[in-house]
Amino acid sequence: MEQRHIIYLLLAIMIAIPYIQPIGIPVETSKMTRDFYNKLKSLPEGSAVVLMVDVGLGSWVELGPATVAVVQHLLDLPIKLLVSGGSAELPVVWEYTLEQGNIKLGDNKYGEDYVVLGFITGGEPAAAALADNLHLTKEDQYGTPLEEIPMMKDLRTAADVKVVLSIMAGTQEEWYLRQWRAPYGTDVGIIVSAVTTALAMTYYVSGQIFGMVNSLRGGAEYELLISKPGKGVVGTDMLSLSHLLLVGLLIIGNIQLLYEKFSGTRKPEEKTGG
Amino acid sequence: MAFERNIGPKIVLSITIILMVTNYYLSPQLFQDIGKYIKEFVVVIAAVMLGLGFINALLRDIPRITKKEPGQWYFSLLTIIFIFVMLFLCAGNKYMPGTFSGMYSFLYQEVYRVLGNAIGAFAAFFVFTATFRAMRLKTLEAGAYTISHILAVLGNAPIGAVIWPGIPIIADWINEVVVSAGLRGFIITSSLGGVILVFRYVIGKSETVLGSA
Repeated sequence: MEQRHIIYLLLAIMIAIPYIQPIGIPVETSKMTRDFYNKLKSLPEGSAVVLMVDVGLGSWVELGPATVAVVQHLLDLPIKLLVSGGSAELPVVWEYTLEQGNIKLGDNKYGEDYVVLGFITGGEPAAAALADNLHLTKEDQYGTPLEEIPMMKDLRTAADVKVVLSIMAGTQEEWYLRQWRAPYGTDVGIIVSAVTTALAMTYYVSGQIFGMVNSLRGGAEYELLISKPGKGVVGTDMLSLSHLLLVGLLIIGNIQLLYEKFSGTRKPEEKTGG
Repeated sequence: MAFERNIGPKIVLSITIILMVTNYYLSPQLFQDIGKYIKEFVVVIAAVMLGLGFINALLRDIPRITKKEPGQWYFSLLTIIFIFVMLFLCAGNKYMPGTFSGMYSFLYQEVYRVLGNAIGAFAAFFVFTATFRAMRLKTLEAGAYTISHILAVLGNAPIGAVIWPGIPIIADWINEVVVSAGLRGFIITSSLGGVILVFRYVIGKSETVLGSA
């Protein structure tokens, strides 16, 4: 068995352990998640929030728990929710979010409290076009003309929207900062994959993004903030053990390297894949 | 009379850029309306491109099947079959949801999602071992990188705070100060480069977006 195969096996074991028996490592809420939560919580009654789904189900493991928790929170708040986005999988992601989260719609009525616009192709120009005209699609996802939907009567442009949120794994936050926040003053928040968090951090630190829910960890934090622990909390145990394994391997690997270097037993570099 | 190559597209490009810049910075209704129409036009063009992608896939994969290209034709056949299956179910889901929504959701949620997650998981295993092999204290720079990496990794996982409460604080500092500072420089310089590039497009000095070098 090659070294990398042993590492694969160890990683699989470390991920499987908390899945079989959750450990319950305490999750501390980060400032960026709390800022995100507080901003939504403090929205005045009747405020409009646009949720842009810019990822597909391929990112569900990482972003699913955060998506479920944030959608549940949004539906619990006395706000108007408009769902759209640049992912062609948006209709399925929306249905899957409601189903997986066992989300209770409560007193929310379709057309009065929330509307699903559907997928809009075109990247940043599409985000800009939607900001200029929230009636861009003419119909909602189910074919109802937007002019006949009560909630949409007062929603015309991004100026009528308090907050735009993006579920993303790229650099879509820049679209909304450029096309929604700069011209219309709409506040931007993001639910983001771990890799992209570092890229978006500069906008959060400068105050251009009011808050970020950082991947699986952020999802767990958000679940705890809304007092509905779910898959995110279980997932953080896997995150902790796998990260711990990585750090352990890095330390062992470097001790080995330093030992070989100082004892003069170091072999020439090996070139290996995966 | 000899015309410069690409003169038509260059003029269209320049005018479009000027219109979009005026739309962003100037408030008169005329500029706003023009910008709005151009943006909506882009959405329509992007939708047409999806159809073009469908035709492109057929043009690429059908010859591979007919020629029985070794090691490829069966993948192409599967691609074509699934394109048409999804097209059929998507139309069925739209016009007869009662009949087709179950199968449509099943393919998306139980096949496509699972495969997508599996690909992500494969990448995670690869990145895991690649990190193990790459993060070595061979030089001072590599050492600083490795230590920052360890702190960032532990800071992102709840176990970091359990090991030592200072780890998340240091990880946050790395993210908020070091990473942000570096990225700000990158974002500002690349944005200035973008402004210069756009200016070159307007005056016709650059035409890379038109397919020229």
